[in-house]
Amino acid sequence: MHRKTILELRKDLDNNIITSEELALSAIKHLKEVNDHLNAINSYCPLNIKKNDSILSGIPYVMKDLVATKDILTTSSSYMLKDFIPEYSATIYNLLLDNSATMIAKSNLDEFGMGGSNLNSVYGFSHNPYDIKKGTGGSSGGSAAAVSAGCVPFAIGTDTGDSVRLPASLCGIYGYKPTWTVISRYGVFPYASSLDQVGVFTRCVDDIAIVMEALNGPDKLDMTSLIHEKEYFYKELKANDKPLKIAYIKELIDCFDNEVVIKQFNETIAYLKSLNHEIIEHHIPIELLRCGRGVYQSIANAEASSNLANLTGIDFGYQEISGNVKESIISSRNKGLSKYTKARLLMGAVVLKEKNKEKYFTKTKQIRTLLIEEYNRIFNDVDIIFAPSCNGTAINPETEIRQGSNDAQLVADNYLSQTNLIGACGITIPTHFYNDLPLGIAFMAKPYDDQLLLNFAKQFENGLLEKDFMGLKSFYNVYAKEIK
Amino acid sequence: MTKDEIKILLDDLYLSANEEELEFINNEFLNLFATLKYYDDVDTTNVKESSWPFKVINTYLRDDIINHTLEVDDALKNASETENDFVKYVKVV
Repeated sequence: MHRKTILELRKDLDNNIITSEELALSAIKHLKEVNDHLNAINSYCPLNIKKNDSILSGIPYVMKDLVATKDILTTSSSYMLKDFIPEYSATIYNLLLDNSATMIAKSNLDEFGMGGSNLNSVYGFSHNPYDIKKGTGGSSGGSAAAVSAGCVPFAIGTDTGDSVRLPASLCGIYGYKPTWTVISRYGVFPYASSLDQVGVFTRCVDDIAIVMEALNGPDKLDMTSLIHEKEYFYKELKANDKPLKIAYIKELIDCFDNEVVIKQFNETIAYLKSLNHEIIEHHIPIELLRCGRGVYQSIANAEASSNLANLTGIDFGYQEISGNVKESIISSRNKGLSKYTKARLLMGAVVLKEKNKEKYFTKTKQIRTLLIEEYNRIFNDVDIIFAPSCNGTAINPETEIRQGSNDAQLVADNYLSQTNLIGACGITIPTHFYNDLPLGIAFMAKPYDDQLLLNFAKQFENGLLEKDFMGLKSFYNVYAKEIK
Repeated sequence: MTKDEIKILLDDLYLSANEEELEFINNEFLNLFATLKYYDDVDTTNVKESSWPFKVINTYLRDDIINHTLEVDDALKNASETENDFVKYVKVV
């Protein structure tokens, strides 16, 4: 049953080859076998096996431990919430329950989603199924590892900067971040509300569309989700058969200096041309691209400093009494939050300080406007923008540094967050291997062009499977590879 | 940022940090300010600020509507200490 997609498992269930109970137990057994190596799972869930006519009925999945699940431990990988059992459920969890999908475990993450390596987890970082000495990236690292190892066909993550797409790329699976507001975030512990979005990890495009169809739609509990109608992404999924205009940003591509990644980019261009797409070079001033990381950090951390202010230990969470009220809250937060989270909250507070506001926060929001305008200008001309997911393969976050040391490498390793700054939809698709580690390509489309992006991704995927173009078929065959 | 300035900021946010954490936080600030120096290269004269990726048209004022509430017992389940229908905590005044 391992390494199968949702549709393959659906077939097995419908043909009575396996029952929902057996499937869930098999997935849990597999997870437990590999989790000693992967550290992907924070807790296993009491099984709630239901049955209906949904495609997802009886399909096991893993949920990022950032999503409130009534009566089920939800820690956010934080000491602050080590014993927290929510009295309510996130809308996305209820929707998956409505579809009779079976949540089997809650997955590891950077504390409250605040990190890109999984180092910021009270449980330690998640390890990469392709090489357990390496990390998965973050923040949704545990979800990525569970799908990559073939334990479940899909997992839920969240993507504030690149927290679904980057781990997916580093773990050799598909990662999807829908348009901001398309999925309700009610019950997903907030990090940065103007950037946060729920995302999904899968092994193929069909499965993304299936899960997206189940999760999207307006929710009166999340006001931002009310601005669009329910969409039927799987029902409408059809491999694109029209020539599209696909752009790359010259100044961004020039920032990638890893020879293998450059080769990956060039081979992807050749492949896209073979699919009759028009490849167009576009431009965004490098001065603006260089600001992307600072804009992301300032906005995300500023919003986090407000969103996480409720973690006082008074009415929930870790509590330490020490003198008066203020001292007690400080004691609770001091022990409850990691140094990484403290640093991010402080960085958010410093740009909001009255004396810095004009210089940093106002300017941050103005540069965000300029980035939005630049991307809108390009999307007025093209359907899709693409680039390598990052400037290399997975690293060990404790002993290696992924971030490049020069300006260009920093742009290459951090540009994915610009998708969030403009609210667009994005996907990463595995294409290459280097030293037995996967590399992905990232595509983005303008806000609310999710269906176009998925249909394009389906065409891209079909071509990879059919043509053995640039040896990529071997990548898919290696999915069967066992964990080292 | 000096360590004393960081300590003031920590106090503002009801946080504290030991020496090792202070060193780490200081390095993070150095990285942040190194990143923010790129702002100097971008002219933002007369540029509007964006708080959201795109306009959210349904932000409007309306009367409160009660649509879901927690029972008191449920709301108190995650509190460390309770008394009757209240969370019990350090005396404020």
